[in-house]
Amino acid sequence: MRTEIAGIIAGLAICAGAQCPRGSYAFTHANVITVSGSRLSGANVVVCDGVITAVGADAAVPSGAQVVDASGMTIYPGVVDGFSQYGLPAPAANAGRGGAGGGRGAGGAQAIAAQNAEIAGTLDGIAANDPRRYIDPEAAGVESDRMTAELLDPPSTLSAVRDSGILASLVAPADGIFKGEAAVVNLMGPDAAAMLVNPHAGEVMELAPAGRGGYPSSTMGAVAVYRQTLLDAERLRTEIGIYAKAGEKGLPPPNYDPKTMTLLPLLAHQQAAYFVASDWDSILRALALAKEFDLVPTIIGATEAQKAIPQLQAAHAGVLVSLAFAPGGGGRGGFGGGRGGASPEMAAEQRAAAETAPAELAKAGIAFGFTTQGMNANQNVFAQAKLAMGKGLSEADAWKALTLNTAQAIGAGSQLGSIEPGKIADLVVASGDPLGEETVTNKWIMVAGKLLPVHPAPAANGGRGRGGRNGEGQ
Amino acid sequence: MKFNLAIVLVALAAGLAAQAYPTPAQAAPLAAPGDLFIRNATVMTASHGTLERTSILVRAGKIAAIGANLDAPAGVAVIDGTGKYVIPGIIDEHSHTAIDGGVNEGAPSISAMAHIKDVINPHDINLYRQLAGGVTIIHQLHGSANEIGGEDAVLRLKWGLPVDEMLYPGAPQGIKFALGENPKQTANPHGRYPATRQGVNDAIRTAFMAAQVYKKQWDDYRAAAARGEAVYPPRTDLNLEPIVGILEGKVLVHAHSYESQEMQALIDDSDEFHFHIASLEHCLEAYKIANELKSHNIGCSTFADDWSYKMEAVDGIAYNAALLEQKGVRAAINSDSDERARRLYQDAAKVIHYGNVSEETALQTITLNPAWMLGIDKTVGSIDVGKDGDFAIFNGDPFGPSALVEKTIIDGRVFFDRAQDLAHRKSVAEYERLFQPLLSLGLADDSDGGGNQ
Repeated sequence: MRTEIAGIIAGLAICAGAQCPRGSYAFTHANVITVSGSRLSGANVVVCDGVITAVGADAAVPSGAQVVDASGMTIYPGVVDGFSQYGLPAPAANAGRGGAGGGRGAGGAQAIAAQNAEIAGTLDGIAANDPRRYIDPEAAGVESDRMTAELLDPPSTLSAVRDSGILASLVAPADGIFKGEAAVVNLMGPDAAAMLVNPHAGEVMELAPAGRGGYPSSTMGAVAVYRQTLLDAERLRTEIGIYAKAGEKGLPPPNYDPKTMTLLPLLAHQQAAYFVASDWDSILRALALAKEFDLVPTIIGATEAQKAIPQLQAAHAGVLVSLAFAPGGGGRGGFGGGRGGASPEMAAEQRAAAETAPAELAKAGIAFGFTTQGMNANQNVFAQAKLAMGKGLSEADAWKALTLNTAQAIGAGSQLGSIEPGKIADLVVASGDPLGEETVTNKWIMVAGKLLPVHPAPAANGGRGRGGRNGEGQ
Repeated sequence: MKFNLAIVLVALAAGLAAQAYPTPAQAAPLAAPGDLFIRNATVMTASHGTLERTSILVRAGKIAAIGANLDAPAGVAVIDGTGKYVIPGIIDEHSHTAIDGGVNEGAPSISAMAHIKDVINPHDINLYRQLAGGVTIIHQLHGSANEIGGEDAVLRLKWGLPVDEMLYPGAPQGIKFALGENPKQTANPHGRYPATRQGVNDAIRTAFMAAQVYKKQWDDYRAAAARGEAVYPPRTDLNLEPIVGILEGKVLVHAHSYESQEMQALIDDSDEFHFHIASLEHCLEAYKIANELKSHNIGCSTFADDWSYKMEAVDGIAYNAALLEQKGVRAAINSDSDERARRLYQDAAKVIHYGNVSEETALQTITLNPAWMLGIDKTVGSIDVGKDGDFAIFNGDPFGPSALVEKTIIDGRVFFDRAQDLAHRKSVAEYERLFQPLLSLGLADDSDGGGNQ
C-alpha cells in the first residue's frame, strides 16, 4: 500500500486519467486548511485514485482531471470522529446475540438460567474447567468476537453525517464491556468493504454493566468481568506456549474460545485498547485497569479529563473528548459512566467545566482528539468545538482535535486527518472556515476520492445537520 | 455579551465548587506522614485509660512519645490541647461510603470476584464530612445481597490524595458474607438460587467445597509442573480465589447477620472448613450466643440502639454491645451510613448510657475493636507509642452532648480543621450573596445546552 502511494506520488507530474482509474480531480484556487501545515490561499488540491497527490499554488492540474473551481472557497480535511456507530445496524438489530439492548429480555433470561445453574453446577464446572461456569459471556457484554468490519451495513443515513463534514470514524458497537473489534471507516457506501480504512483497529471496552440483566449488575462486577476475560485470554496464550513447547502433541489443543482468542492481539500490543470513560473516576479506573494488563489506553469520552491530566500523561494515554460536554444527565448517567442524578445547576456547572477540558489538555501538551459520542442530533461538531474555543482552545488546536489528532488517536495518522500528499482524499469544500466564520455552507464532499454534492438542506454550519447517527444515546 | 457573562459566572461557580476538593498542590504536602506536637490535652488512649494534661509527639506519622512533661521539638507544629480531648481516630467498621456504580454485585449469589478497591470514589464529599466527625478510617464493604459478596477495602480518609495513598497499608484483605433475609430476598429479583434461609447456608458450603476442588487443581498442577510435566494450568477463577484465601487464613470474613441461629450455622461452617470469622456485622442477636463468639474469637460489629426495622431485627436490644463486652467478646459500633458515620462518638456514648460500660470500653467500640476486627490493631486504634498518629481532637468530652470535632489528624497531618472549614463556608456565602441576584435574573442559566445564545 505504502509503495503504491509512493509510486503515485512519483508519477504525479504525469498523473492523468489513464494513471488514475478511480478518477483524477483538481480543486483549484482555494483557501486550504491543511491542518498538518500552514494555511494556503489560491492553492490547488490534486487527487488521484482516492489519494491526495499534490497541494499548493503551484500544484499542476493533470490533464484529464475533473476540475472543481473552488475560488473563494475553503477546503478542509474531513472531520474524523473518534468513536461512533456510523454504518452499524441500530442496537435492537443486534439483539440476536445474547440479547443486546434487550434489557431483561432474552439476555436476562439466559443470565438467570446461568445463575440458577451456577451453584448446582459449581463442582462440575470446576472439574470441567469451564470458563462459562458463572459468566454468561454474552449477557455479561463480552462481545470481543464481534467484528465491526463484518457488521457494517451501509447505506444507512450516512449522507447527513457526511454533509456536516464528518467523513471518517472509529466505529464499534456502543454496548458491552468488550464491545468488539473496532474498524476505522470512511463514511461512504454502499459497499461496506470500500468503507474500511482499517478493519482491525483495536478493542473498545467500557467498565460498566452492559445493562442486559443478570451479571454483572454493578461497576465492580463489570471490572471483574473485564479482569476475568483478560485473565482467560492470558491463560489461552499460556496454553498455546505450552502446546508449542510440547511439540503440539501429548496434550489436547488449547481451548480456542472465540471470545478470548480474539483478545490475543490486544494483549500482544498488536491492537489498540480503547476505554469508554467519561467522568474523573471512570477515567482513573480505566487507566488503572489498563495498566493491570499492560495496555496503553486511549480514553473515549474524557469529559473530565482536565482533572486527570497527570495520570493521563503518566499512562501515555490517548484522549478522545466527547463534544457533547455532558458528564451528567438522568437515568444511568451520561455517556461513558457519567454521574446520574445531577441537579440542573450541577449539570450546568459540569458542562461548563467540561467545555474547559480541551483547552486544559492542549495547555498540558496532550494531543487529544474529539468524538461525537453522546451528542444529540441537534448538535453540530463545529458549534460544539466553538464552545471549547470559547474556553480558551485555539482554532489551530480545535482543527487538530477535529481531524489530525483524532486520526492519530485511532491509528490512522498516516492516512487521514490532514490535506497533504499521500493522505486519503477526505475533503470538504465549504463557503468558508467553519471554525472561523459564523455561517458556513458545505458545497462538495469528497470521501476517499469520490466526489459527492452536499444535499440541499440542512447543510449550513451551526444548523441542525449532523443527525442520522445510529446507536446514540446509550 | 449575555452568553459571555453566563460563562464567566458558571466558570466562577465551578471554580468555587472545586475548592471543596483540594487541588493537587493543596493536597501534596499531606501525602507524606508528618511531625506534630499536641500539648497539654486530655488524652483518651483507648488502651491504658485517660491521661490528663498530657502531650503527644508524632514523628513521621507515628506516635513517638506520650507524657505530661514533653517539650515540643524545634520545628514541629504545635497544637494547643488545653481544654481539649484527644481520642484515637475513629474507625467506622461498616461503611458503604464512596463506592461507585453499585454497592452490590447482586446478580450471582457468590460475588467474591467483585472488589471494592476497583470502585472507590476518592472524591466523594461524604469522606470529608466523615472527617468532620473524627473518622480517620472506614471499612468499605460490599453490600449484603450475596451469600459471599465482594472483597473489602480499608480506607484512610486522606481527603485530596489518590486512592492508592488512602488504602491502609498492609491491611489484610477482607470479604463480605451475608446471611438471612438480604441474600435470600435478593434472590427473587435476580431469579437466582437460593431463595430460602436454609439455602443460604447451602450456597456458602457449596462455595467452600468448590474452593477446595479449585485449590486441589492448582496444587496438583503446581506439583506436576514442578516435576517438569507438560500440563496446562487451571483457569484462574476470580470468584474462587478469595475463598481459597479464606481457607488459607489470608482473607478475613465479615458476615452480615441478624439472627443467632444463622450466626451459629456460619460458625459451624467455619468449624467444618477450618476458617476464621473476623467479625459478624450487625449481629443484633449476638448477645444470645456470646459464649460461642468468645470461644471462636469472633467480634460483633453492631448498632448502638437500632432495631425492629425488619422482622429479623426484632430481637435487637440496646444492651448487645455491653453484654458482649461482659462476656469478653469484642464489640464495635458502626454506622452503615454516610450520615451516621459523622457522629459515631455519640453512638458509642449510648453504650455507656444503656449498658453502663466504662468510657474506655465505649471508646474501644469505635477505635481499637474495629481495628482488631480489620487486623490492623497492632498499628492503629489506640494512642500508644509506635502506633499511627491518627487522632480526633474534640472541644470537650467526646461523649458529652455538645461534643464537636475541631481537628482530625491522620499520620500526623491535619485533614480536617473546623476553623478553616467555617472560614471557607463564609467565603461561599459571600460568593452567593454577590452573584445570586445575577443568577436569579437568568443570566447564568446554561441549562439548555450552552451555545444557543
